[in-house]
Amino acid sequence: MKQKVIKSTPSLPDASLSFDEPLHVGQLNMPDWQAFEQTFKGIFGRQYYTNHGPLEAELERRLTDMLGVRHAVSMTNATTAIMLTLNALDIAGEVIVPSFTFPGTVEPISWAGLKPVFCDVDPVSHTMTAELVKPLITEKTGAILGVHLWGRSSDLYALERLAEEHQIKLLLDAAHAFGCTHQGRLLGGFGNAEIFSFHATKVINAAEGGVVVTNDDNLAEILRAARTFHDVDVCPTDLKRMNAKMSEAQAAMALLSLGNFVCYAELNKQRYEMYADCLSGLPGIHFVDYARDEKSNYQYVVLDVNERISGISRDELLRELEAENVLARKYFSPPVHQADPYCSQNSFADECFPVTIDLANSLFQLPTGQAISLDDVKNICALLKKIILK
Amino acid sequence: MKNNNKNILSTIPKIIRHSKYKITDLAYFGGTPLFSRVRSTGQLFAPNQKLFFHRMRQVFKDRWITNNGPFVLELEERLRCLHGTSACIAMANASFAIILLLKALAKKQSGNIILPAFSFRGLPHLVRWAGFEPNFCDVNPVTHTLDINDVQRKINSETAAILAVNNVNALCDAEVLKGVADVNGIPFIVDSVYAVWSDKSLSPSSRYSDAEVYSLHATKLINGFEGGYVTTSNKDLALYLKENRNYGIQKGGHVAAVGMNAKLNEIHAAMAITSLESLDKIVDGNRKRIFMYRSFFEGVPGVSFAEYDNASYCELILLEVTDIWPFSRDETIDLLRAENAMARPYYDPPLHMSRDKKPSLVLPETEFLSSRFIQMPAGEHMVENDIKKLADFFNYLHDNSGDIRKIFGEFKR
Repeated sequence: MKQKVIKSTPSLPDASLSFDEPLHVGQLNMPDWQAFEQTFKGIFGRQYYTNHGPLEAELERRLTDMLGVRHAVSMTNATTAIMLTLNALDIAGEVIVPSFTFPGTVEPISWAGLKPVFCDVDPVSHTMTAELVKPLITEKTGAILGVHLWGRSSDLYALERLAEEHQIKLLLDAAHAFGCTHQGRLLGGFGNAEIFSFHATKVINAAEGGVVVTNDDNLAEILRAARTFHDVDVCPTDLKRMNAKMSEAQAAMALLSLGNFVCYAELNKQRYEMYADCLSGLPGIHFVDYARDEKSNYQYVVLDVNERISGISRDELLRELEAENVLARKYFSPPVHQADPYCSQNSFADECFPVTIDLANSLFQLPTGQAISLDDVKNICALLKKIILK
Repeated sequence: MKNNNKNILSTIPKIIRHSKYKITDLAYFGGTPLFSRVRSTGQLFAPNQKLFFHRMRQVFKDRWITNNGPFVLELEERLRCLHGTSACIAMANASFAIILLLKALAKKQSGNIILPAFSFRGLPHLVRWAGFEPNFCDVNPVTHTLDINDVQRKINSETAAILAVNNVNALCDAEVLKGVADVNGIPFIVDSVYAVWSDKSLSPSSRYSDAEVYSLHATKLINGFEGGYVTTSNKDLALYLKENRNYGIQKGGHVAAVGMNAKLNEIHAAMAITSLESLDKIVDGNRKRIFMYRSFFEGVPGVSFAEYDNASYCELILLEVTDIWPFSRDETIDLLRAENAMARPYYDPPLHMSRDKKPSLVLPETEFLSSRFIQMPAGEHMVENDIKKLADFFNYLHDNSGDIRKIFGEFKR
């Protein structure tokens, strides 16, 4: 159990708050032990460990019900899901994608034999808008891959119209966005397909896992063939296939998480609002209120540091927090266009991405999730205040 | 071991020659299946639940359920010791392992990969995901592994690597293949999914290859739900694989290469460790099963089991159907599957022949072997009485083949 310990530290010579155990970012929501044990005893009893078992089928059925979509095709993880979806959509050429995202959004583009064309993001929503994407569309563009950052999307309808106008595909990386809405409509049914992540750090925890949701019957059929080497009813002759199956263990974890989703989201919301409240007015720290006006899972707590006002850089702030066992993390830094595989291409110079660079230098996440209590939130905020105000 | 197996046979009641009494008893023609519960071809070992849940308690306590957790590290160390290599790198499954290995080691970024055409259906897909084209080679008629002469004929200036496969019945000729690879300046990788080496010393393929790939799929020897791993003595390669299974992220957070998410999670690792602790028991059971199959099927004309290398863990049971047997391999499989004995064709179709196209290559040994072998029900579900039933069944099919063929014809019309 974490304890509040009052002690002096080199970074804060006056008595301050510290944590015995590190506080991590990432949801890390674990199910009730009894429910876990019972579910896994079921797997052992059936001796059906993987290869499209009953729990995978139930998970996909529940997801289609919850999200109001025709198809949910589960996969071993979201990154692989994006890779297979890009391949299944038979896209050629280039894919417009934000640089301000996790590498797992962009790398599947390369694996699918396509070229990423990076796009800057909107300074308020942190996502690509139709206005930003449009100038990048050429005759080589095969798709737009948008990201619902922090569970927030902007301009989805405009992006859909743009994709339709240019006869290109629209794919959405919805890793952050399970249970979130756009203009009141649950995310999942937009574009050609959306991909959710069930990584342990996300609100739905399958240890590792992902799912492609789509209303496109043909695409769903191709994905079901693509994720396995087993015999399937329909399989295009030249389709590149893969072992991308989710095991029954992963499906079990995801189902247990789904059952607790409302509770997880509610507790996340309480922590989110507590952070917003406690940090209100702190000079140079802006709380990114991404959940305003929409339903959210509140799984992230994102702050923006203005060094000029706060008197401390984002990286320095993180070092001071880390010294006290608060493992805040910069997200996303460095941006993907600066990564080795992509930075050698001249069209991806930093000048093209002023907002991305700014966000990459100033944003960070604070711990939230099942292991973080409201008292922890208060203490973290108190610590932040001490660091900023000293 | 031989004396133990003979003792087992002596305790089994006298074999009843026929368990089916008339043709319509065959499930294919509407009779009750031999097996009320499906008998599959996979290992499907059920590890000690208590130990598994004990490990999972730790995962819950630490909240560390993926991202290079303690059970992944423990599993890698245990497997590294088992195989006697410098490094072991766990992955989400063997497919990811093969793709990343080809990307890491191939001499160039495009070109072709030498591989056997008589092998796992997924291999050509993995070669293509890695950015290459498959260069199919024929196989040795006895070992079913890469035919060295055909490799030497097919290798060319565009060949980027050799991907050999160790089979359940025999290992590839690693020393010779290494020589061929070296002469051509290309790496040599081995898919050992069905050939876990038992000795503490390095297996021949570990000694000569740049890396070997294994599987932790539930149907394989070690059940990790899903999973795979690479063994290698190349520490730079090991580091590359560890980074690239995690998006190419190096220490410090810099993305150095186009990686993937190929991480093994802690639930799968805990399951694999718990299974691994019973490896001796699993192998012992497999060897007893193949002995029983051989013994009970001894009098069945026209079928025989593949010859297994002494070191084999026998996780697949391969039955060859010859021209003397009165049914084709596929008819035999249909008859078996109707009885809930879920036999399968072994490596059919050959990899160079897709469903819808005329093959551009002729690989005579591969094409012959692809029509001959049945993967028989195997693994933990198959007990001696089940094997006895199957032997009875084959005897019945043989003794009544004429009548069965007549009705077969009517059924198929």
